[in-house]
Amino acid sequence: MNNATANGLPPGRRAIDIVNAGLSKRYRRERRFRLYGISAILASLLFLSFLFGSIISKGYTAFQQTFIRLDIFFDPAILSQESLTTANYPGVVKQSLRQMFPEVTTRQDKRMLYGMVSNDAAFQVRKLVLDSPEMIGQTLPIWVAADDDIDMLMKGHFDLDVPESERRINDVQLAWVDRLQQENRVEKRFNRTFFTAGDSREPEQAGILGAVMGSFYTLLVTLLLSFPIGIASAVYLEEFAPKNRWTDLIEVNINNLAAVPSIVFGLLGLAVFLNFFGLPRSAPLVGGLVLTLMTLPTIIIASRASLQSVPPSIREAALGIGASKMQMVTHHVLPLALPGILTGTIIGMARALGESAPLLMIGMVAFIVDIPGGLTDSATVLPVQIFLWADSPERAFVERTSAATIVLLAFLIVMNATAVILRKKFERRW
Amino acid sequence: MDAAANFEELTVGIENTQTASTGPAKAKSGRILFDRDSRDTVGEPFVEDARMTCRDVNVYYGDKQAIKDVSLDIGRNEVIAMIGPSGCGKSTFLRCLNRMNDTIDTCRVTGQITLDGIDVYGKDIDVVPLRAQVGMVFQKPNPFPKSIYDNVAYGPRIHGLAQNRAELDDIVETSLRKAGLWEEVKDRMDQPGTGLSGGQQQRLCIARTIAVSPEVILMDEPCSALDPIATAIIEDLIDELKQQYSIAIVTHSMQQASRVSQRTAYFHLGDLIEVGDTAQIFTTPRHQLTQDYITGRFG
Amino acid sequence: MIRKSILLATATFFMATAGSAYAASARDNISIVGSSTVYPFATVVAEQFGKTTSFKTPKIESTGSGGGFKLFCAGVGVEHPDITNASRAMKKSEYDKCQANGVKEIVEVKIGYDGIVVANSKKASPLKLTRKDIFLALAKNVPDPSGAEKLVPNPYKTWKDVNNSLPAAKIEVLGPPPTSGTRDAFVELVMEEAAKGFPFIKAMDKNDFKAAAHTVREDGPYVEAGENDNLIVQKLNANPDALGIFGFSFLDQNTDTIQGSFVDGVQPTFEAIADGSYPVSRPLFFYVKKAHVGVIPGIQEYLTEFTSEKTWGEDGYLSEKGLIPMPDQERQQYQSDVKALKPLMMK
Repeated sequence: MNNATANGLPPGRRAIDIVNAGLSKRYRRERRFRLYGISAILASLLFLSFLFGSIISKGYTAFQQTFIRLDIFFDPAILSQESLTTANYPGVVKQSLRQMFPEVTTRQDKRMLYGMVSNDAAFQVRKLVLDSPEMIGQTLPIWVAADDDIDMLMKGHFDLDVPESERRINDVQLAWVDRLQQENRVEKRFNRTFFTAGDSREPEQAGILGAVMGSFYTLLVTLLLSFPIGIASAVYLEEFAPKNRWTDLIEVNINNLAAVPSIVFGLLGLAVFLNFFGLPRSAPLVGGLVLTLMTLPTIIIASRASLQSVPPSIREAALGIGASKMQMVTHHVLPLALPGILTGTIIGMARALGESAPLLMIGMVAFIVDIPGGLTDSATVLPVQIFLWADSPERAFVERTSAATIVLLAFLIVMNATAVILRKKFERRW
Repeated sequence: MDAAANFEELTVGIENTQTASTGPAKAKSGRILFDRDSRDTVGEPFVEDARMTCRDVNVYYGDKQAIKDVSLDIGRNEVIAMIGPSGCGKSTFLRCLNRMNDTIDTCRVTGQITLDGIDVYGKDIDVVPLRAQVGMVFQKPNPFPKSIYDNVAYGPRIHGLAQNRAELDDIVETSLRKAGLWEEVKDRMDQPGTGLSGGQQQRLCIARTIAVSPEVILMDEPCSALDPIATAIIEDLIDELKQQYSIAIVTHSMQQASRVSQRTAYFHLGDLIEVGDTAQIFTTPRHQLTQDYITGRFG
Repeated sequence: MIRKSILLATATFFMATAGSAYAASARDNISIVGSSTVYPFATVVAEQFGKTTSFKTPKIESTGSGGGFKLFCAGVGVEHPDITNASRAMKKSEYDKCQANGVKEIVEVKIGYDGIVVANSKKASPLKLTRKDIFLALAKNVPDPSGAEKLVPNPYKTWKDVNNSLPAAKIEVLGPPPTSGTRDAFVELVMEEAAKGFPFIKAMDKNDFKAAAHTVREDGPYVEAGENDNLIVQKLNANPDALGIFGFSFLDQNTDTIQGSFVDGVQPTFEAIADGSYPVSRPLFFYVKKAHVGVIPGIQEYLTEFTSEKTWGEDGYLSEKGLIPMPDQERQQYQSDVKALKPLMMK
C-alpha cells in the first residue's frame, strides 16, 4: 500500500489491479485488429482467386486445339513439278475432303464441308510438299487444324439446344463431325500454334509469339535505358547532389512523374520520338523509349530508397580509410543497394510489361502477323494483343484472350517472384 | 576569476601554457581553482613536438555551435582520452581531425587544425590522403560485408600501397597481427568479416585502419558495444599501438580513460574544460566541472 | 555535368540519325490505319494477302476513322500510312487537309456494308421496334406525349410507355460511347431519321435539329458500354431485359445466344442488309494514297486482293466475317475504278 501511494496513486489502489482490469480490453482490441487484418487479406485473396479462377477456367481450353486427320492424296495432276510454290494446295485439301464425304454434292454443302478445316491446312500441305517433293503420288494421313467453329463445338462452347438456323454449326455439320469422331479422325492436341505463331484473324491460327517477341524487344530497350539512367540519377541525387531548392524541385517532379497517367507518356513519345526525331511508328525501339520514360521514376525512387537504407556506418568506414566519395559509392554503397535497386527495376519492368495505353499513341496497337525480328520492325506487345483479341467478334478468341492473359500473368508472377526472392536472399539487417 | 582571466591572456604560446600549468601545484593540495562558471581551458592542452595541433576550433551545425574555441595538441606516441557527458562535443571534435564532418552538409568548422604542421583545412588539402593518414575506428564495429581479407586489403588497394598480391598479403597479415587478430582468423580469411564476434569485428576494423599506415588513429568509443572481455583485449591493443601511432580516443568510461591514456581532456557542452595528465585529472582535477564529472555527480 | 550533356548530345544524335536512316530506307510493308469497324475485315484481307503473296503482311492499326484520316492526311512519305480505313466517307475538311499536306490523289474504295443491330438475349422474345420507338426511348428530349409541339425531357421508363404494343420491360440499352463510329452511324441512321418524322423537329434550324436528334439521354436507360462489343454481348447474356447496340458481325458470330430486334419490320439478317431492306446499315470504305502506289511494295496487289470476288463477293471470305457485300454492279464499278486508281474528287 505504501508503495502505491508513493507512486502517486490514490491510496487503496494497487497498480497491478488497474493493469489487470484493463487487460482484457487490451486483448479484445488486439483480437479485433487481427480479425480486421485477416478479413482484409481474405477479401483480397477472394477477389484474386475469383480473377484467376475466371481467367483460367475460360482460358485453359485454348491450350488445346482440335485436329482432324485427313487422308491427303498428293495428286500429281494438281502438283506439277514446275510450279510447286504456287500450286493449288487448297484444291488438294478439298479433294481429300470430297473423297471422305462423297455424298456431298451441292455447292452450298461443299462450302460448308471445306469450312470444317482451317484454311491453314493448305499451307501445311504446301510446306510438306516443298520439304519433300517425293511425297507426290502418295496418300498420307495428315492431321490438320479444325476450323475455329468446329474447335468450339468440340470444346462444348456451343449450345446445341437452340434451333438449327440460329447455330453456327448446323445439323449436317454435326453429322459430319460425329462421323469423323467415329472414325477416330478427331483429336484434341496441345495447341503449339498458340505459342509459335503471330497474330491471325483465324483463331485457330492465331498465336502469341509475335506479341511475346514484341514485348521482349520493347522491354529490352526499356531495361537497357532505364536501368543505367535510373541508377545514375538515383546515385547522383542521393549521394552527390547538393541539397537545395533545385534538387527538391527535381525530387518533387520525379515523384509526380511516377503518378502521371501512362497515356501521357504515349503522347510525349508521339510528339518527341515520332514527330520530332522521325523514328518509325509501331517499333519496339519507340515503345521501349516511351516505357523508359514511364519506368524511370519508379526505378529512381526505388533506387534512392535502397541507397538510403545502406547504413551510414558503411559509408563512414569507407571514408574513414580514405576512400573517395566515388569509391565509397561504387565499392560499397551501390553493391549493397543493388538488391533493392533490382527489385525496384523488376517491379518497374513488370509494370511496363503490362502497359498498353502509352503504346496506343505510337502505333503499337496494330494487327501484325509477322513476328518482329528487330528493334525497328513493326510489333505489338502482349497486353495489346489481349486487348485486340478481346475486341474480335469470333467466339474462339474469347478463350484465346484468357489464355494470353494467363501467359501475361505467368510472366508477371515470375518477375515479381524474382523480385521477392532477390529481396529475401540479399536482404541485410543492420 | 582573476586566474581565469589571466589564463585567457596566457593561452597564446606553449611556454605561457606551461606557466599556467604551474597551477596544479596548488591543485595537488586538493583545492579547486576554477569554479563552475568558468569555461576557459585549464591544464596543459599543448605539448612539445605535437603531431596534430588544434587552435581556436569552432564547429557549428547550422546555427548551433557544437564546439567552442577548443585548442588542443595531440602528441607523438601518446594516447589522449576525451571524456565528458553525452552531447559535450567530444565526438564532434574527434571527427574534425580527419574531416569526417565534411560529410554533413550543415557542418562548419573554423579555427586551425594541423597535421605535422600542415593545415588540414587548407584550400589545397585533399581529404583522401588526409584520411589515410588519420584513420578512424567507430563506435559500432562496421566491417564491410566482404571477406576478412578484403576488409583489411581494401584500404591498401584503393591507395595502391601494394605492388603485387604478395605485398598485399604481407600488409594484411601484418595489420591483422598488429590488431591481435591474426591467430584467430588466419584460417578463414575468405569468410565474411560480419560473421566475427563483436570484439573481433572491432579489431578487424582496427586492422583495416592500420593497414593504410596512418599516423594518427581516432577512436570513437570503440568499446561501447563490446563486453568486458573484448574491451580488455582492445585496451591492451591500444596500449601496443601507441608505440607506433598517436591515438585519440573518445570514451564514456572513465576507467577506460584512466587505463589506456596518458593524457585526458574533459569536454563540457562544447567547451574543453580541462586537459592534463590522466592520473592527475582523475585524482586532483582543477576545475569544479571536472571534479563533478569524475566523482559521478552528473554525466 | 559536362559528361551528362555530352551523353545527351550523343543520344540526340543517335536518335536523329536512326530516325533519318529509317526515313531514308524504304518501308517494305504496307501501313494501314483507321476505323475499328473496318479493322476486322481489313485484317483478314491483309493476312490472306501476306500468306498468298511474297509481300510482307500489312500492318493495321485500329485508330478510329477520324484518327486514321488525321494520320493519313499528314503527308506523303514512308513515315505516313498508305491506306486508311473508314466507317464513313471522307469529309470535305479532311480532304482539304490532305490536299494542304500534299496528299493530292486519293483513291476511294467502298468495300461493303455493315449493319448496326439492336439485339437482346435469346432468353427473351425478339422486340419489334420502329426507329421512332428507339428515338423516343433513347433521346434526351422527346416530343411532348400530350401532343403539343414542344420537346420535354424524356419521361419514358418502359418500352410500353413508348409504344403500347411493346412489352412493359424497363428501357435498358447498352451502346457505344460518343467516340465510336458505330455510335455516329447509329445516331445518324436511327435517331436522325426518326426525328425527321416529327414535322416540328424537322422544321428546326440546323443546330437545334442536331441537338434534338443527336442527344442521347443520360438519365440511366442508355448505358455507355465502352468500345468493346464483345463485352456488350456478354452483358446481354447475363441480363435478358437489356438491349445492345453493335455491329452486325458480332450478331453473326453469336447467333446462338443473341437475336436482332426487328427495326421497321425487318430483322437484321445478312440478306436483309445486303438488299437494303434493313434500314440501319452504313457503307464502309478505305482510302489509298496514290503517291505511295509503286513506292511501297504490294499496294497494287493488296488492292487487287481486296477487290477480287473471292474476297468481297457474295461468297467471298469477308462475307463469312460478317461484311455485307455491295450489289454486283457497284462492286464492278469500284473494281474498275480501283484498277485505274481513279482519284477522288471533292469540290
